[in-house]
Amino acid sequence: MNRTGSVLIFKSLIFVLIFFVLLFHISGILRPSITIEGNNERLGMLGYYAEPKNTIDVLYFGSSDATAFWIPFKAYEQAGFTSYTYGKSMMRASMFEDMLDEALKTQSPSLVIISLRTILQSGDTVEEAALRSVSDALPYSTINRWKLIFRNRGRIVPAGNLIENGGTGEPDTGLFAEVPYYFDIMKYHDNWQNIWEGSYHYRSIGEFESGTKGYFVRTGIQPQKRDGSVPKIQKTTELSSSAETALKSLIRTADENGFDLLFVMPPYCETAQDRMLFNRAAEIISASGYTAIDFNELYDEIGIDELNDYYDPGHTNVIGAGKYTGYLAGYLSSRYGLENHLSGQDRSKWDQGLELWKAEEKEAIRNCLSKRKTIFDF
Amino acid sequence: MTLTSFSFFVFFAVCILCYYILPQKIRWTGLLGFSILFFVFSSPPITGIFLLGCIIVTHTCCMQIHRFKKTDPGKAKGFLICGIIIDLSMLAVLKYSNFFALHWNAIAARAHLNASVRIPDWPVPLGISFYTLQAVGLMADTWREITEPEHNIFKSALFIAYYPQLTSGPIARYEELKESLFRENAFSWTNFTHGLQRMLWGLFKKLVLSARLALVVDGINGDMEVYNGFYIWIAAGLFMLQLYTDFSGYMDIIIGASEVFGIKLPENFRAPFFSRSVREFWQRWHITLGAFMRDYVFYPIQHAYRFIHIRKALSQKIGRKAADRLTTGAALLCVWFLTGLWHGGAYKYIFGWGLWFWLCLILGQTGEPLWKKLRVFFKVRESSFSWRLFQILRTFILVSIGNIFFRAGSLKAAFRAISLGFTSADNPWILFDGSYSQFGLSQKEVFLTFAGLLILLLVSVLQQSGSVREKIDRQGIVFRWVLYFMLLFAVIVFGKYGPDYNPADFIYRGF
Repeated sequence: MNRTGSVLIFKSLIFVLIFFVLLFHISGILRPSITIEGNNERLGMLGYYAEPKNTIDVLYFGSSDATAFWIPFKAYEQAGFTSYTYGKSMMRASMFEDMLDEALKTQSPSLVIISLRTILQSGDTVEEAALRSVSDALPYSTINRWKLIFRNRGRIVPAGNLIENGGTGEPDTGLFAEVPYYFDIMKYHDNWQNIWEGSYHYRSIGEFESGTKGYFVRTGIQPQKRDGSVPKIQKTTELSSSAETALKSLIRTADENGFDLLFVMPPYCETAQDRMLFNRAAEIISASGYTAIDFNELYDEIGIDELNDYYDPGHTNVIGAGKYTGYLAGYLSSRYGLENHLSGQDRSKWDQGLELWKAEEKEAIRNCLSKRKTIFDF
Repeated sequence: MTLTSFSFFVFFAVCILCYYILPQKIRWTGLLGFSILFFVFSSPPITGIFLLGCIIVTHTCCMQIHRFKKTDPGKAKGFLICGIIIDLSMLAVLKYSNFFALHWNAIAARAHLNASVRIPDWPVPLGISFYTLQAVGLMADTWREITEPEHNIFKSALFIAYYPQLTSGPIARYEELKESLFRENAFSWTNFTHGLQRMLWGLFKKLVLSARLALVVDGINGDMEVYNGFYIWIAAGLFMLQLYTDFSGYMDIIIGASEVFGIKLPENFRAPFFSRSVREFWQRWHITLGAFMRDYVFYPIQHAYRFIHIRKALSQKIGRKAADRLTTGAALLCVWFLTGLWHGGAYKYIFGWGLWFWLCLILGQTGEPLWKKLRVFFKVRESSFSWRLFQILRTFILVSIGNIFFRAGSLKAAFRAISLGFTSADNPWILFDGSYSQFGLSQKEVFLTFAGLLILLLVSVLQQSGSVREKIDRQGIVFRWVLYFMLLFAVIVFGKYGPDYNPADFIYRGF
């Protein structure tokens, strides 16, 4: 090749490189903004990267049923071990494996608690909104984001195909159907009209800590009426293939990485179908030597109050989450012998965070109770 | 597969790679293979039969015309007529059978005959209107001995089905295309970069400008009873810009893509909005269709024995000048009837759009003595800028009115729109009170569209004094790269595309 040819190739490579650098930054700016103040799930995910490496003892992992139930500072206060709620709403079974891989990149927890509800309820397709909710929360550059999207190719149901009132609709099996997920600028480029200061926080990975360690504070009150007979059901029913695959892959990951696994069904208004799915999952889990607990069997022990402790049928508010965390933290402490391993600056940071959390919790509970008053007075 | 889809760009990238990997001698076969693939991906597979039929018929007829032209012209003419009839029949049956069936049923109903027919719903091959004209042109050129037919049927096939061009033209002549299509094209960095730049410019026109203009145009045309008065004239003007950015954008993508392969396609637009008359406009807009109609319809009619005979007879009765004008007007009427019909089997094209432009051309031509007197009376300085500006605006308005027929749902709807434009024209404030926002365009988008149109104008002005890309080439690398990245990201960020956007297909892709 002559010199001119080499120069042209070199220039082209530089051009392509600059293009991708610009694409990366502009994509970040155009993504739905992350609010770094206050309380949101994406900040919880973002803040995970700000945690000093290998300082988390327990990872509480799952969909919104994780972020609504587990309060890491509550557990820290009660049992001393550190934990983080690594979760994102709408995380479907087929996303768990890559999300766990992402979480394990920076932390080596001795125990991972998997919140089972969404895995069990997942079908074999994935709604566009679910995939976007999760993949958007991951850093653009992480390989697990690309793996997660690739794993879900052929099963993504675009928003336009969704069937209202039940049913999920036909997935898009087109050859390039998942491309707008890899390059999310294809979806979000129209956000150029809404660019503001917060749009630049996409660069903040590792800069902003989550003041709740991933827990998403919910302060509403919605009284529930649970069916006490459901937790007594012994029958089983078949899991969807993606749920079964997810369970097995999580177990494999635990075996390979040498951490313990605990599968839980948080206390919510469990349906008979959910219970039968749990029974089947518990069979698979116990066959692999791990434990699965349905906390719907332990309502009274936890002390859940159906009138005051729920945000909606599937999620506890801050009061209910506090009770559940307190109960589970005690169990973990005695069963797994977890205790405080922190020292020096890391410990003082957690202690300071705990103080801040206590104040925030107090305010959140007051807020919650004021809403209850409004509801019942009305 | 539309030319703005992700799948097209992947397809195109693979095609470039294969094209330049193949030995130079057989590169055109690679293009033929990809053209077939493109057709399979973009058109109902069954319609491939018609494309194949057109290729076989055209090739066979060309060979026979060439063979018998000298020895047995009658036979050669027979093949020419036969070939044209078969090719045009396929076009007529597939594209116009609905039109004919609807009219037959209307006549049958009116005559109380129980003879109605089912409205056919046949799949139409991609680009049939364009490739049929190319095929007819090839046969006619062979008959006129302007070109020698291609002995290799696969080369004929590539000329007819060449994929970037297949969808919307430009309608090329075999003589002008064959050299670059079949020569041993070596990779040229200039062709490659210039081609991509032109494609990018086309994408900018389509995705950033046309798609936004379409929102307002479609909104107004969707409910003209509500959006009347000034809305109608705004929609007419904007549709003109939409059609231009859409069609010329498509042409830029097609011509640019061809340039990457080292193939030079004829230009279809030459700054049409700088035209000072409707006649000039049609020399700058859809140039290849105009040239086709001129060479294969207008001149053959003018030079037809019977026509010359009629002109002579008329000359004796009404004088030579008047006879010339009358016969030219008649020939033009045929041209515009066929141009209208080519656009679609609908009265709006034939009797609305076609007739309007015919009328404009005839009035411009025959009324010239009167216009001249008026110019003298008003002491118009024809070299002045204001007069040229007036002519440009007048042409724009006349052409925009003609295109109301093009855009409307029917001939009746077009007349209704024009009447609503006059009868309810008491709402000029809509130009200033942000009424556009109800069509889905935010203020920022309106600003963006205006800025984009200004850039378009600037580029058109620069084009008057030579190739803009060559001008850019002469600049320093920093300036050039900044410009390229700005255009690239303008398309990526400001373009209307992606999963939330249901892209309006290119308007001329439907023909």
